[in-house]
Amino acid sequence: MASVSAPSANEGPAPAPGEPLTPARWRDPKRHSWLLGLIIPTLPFLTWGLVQATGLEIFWFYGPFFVFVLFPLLDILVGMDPSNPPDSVIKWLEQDRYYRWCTYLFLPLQYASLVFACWLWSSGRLSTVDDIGLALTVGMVSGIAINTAHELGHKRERLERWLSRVALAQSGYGHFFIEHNRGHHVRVATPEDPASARLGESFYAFLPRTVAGSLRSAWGLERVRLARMGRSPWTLRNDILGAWAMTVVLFAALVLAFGPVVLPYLLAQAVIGFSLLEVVNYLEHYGLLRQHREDGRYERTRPEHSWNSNNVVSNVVLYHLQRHSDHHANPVRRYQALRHVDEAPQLPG
Amino acid sequence: MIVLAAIPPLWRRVMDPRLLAHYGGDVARANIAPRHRARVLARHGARA
Repeated sequence: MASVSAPSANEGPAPAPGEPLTPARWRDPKRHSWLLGLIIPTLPFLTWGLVQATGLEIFWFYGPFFVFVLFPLLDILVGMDPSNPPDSVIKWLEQDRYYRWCTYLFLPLQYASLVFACWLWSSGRLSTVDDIGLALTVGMVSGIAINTAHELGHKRERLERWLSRVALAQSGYGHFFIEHNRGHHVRVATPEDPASARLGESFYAFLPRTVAGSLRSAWGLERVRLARMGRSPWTLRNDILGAWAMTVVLFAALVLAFGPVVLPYLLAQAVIGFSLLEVVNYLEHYGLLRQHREDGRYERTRPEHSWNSNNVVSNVVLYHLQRHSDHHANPVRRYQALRHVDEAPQLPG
Repeated sequence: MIVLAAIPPLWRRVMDPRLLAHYGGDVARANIAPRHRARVLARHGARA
């Protein structure tokens, strides 16, 4: 397991004025920490191992404990790291394929753990309560997989965009890939955006609004795109239907292999997964609003339209998602190169 | 933070003042939920 780098400005000695920083001089302090993200898709295995080792069935609930208790505690213990890669190494950092593999490897682990969980559900060895605990644990993987899909889905490479959809199949949230890139990024921090939470809106009011609104928005975007090509939206060329077909095939294969007993748990983990993703979404733009310009249009998206956080642990697990302002300014920029921005409002530590 | 988000009264206590400070006390510049607009303005509007 990679250890988390302590917050540090590990950028070596300051260069003399005028001397360019080159990769040879600069070391990425988080480089090995990114492997930590791969712990998430192994949670169902870890959970099983803990139950076996201790004999305590409460450990079937280890996934939510890990995400809601252990990680917030680690965030407090490890603290913040606002250090940025120097501008001169951004390009070099982005082309380093090591970082891509950190995200690609999430997927085989994600699906191995889903198959393993289905086997456990179908084995009849667990009580119903334990089965539910395992579904919650698998739901944590499912939800954080949407974040991994988010990182992959913003890229121009076909492979990464395809992997993004594969990662979304487990939660049935394939439309996210369309709505997020073409809807949310355009309308962020406006009342028209279903994925920007509003002041006074609780998470429980936000959740149904964002789920329904994102779905409607994604469908609208695809309908318009296909209509321009003279096609009906009812085709597999519709990226939403294509992505959902992946979920249908996946769930059908698992039901065929392990029996209909796994279906309710598959559905439950999907709902838990996308709800977890939406809690994270709720934080990102809460109450923030782009003002109207004189011509009546919204001002362009600026760093002050996203909440940011430099918590090391959650940023490592979520691929720098909380350096959200830089992500909105540079949506294609790879996670390892995202920067802390001084003007961005900060979430409490 | 995700734990805070799951408990709305706590979330509001921590985040609403932070958001208000971000807008220099001018709550009208925030993205306010239409259903709660009157309540939010009554609570924070006077300070602007």
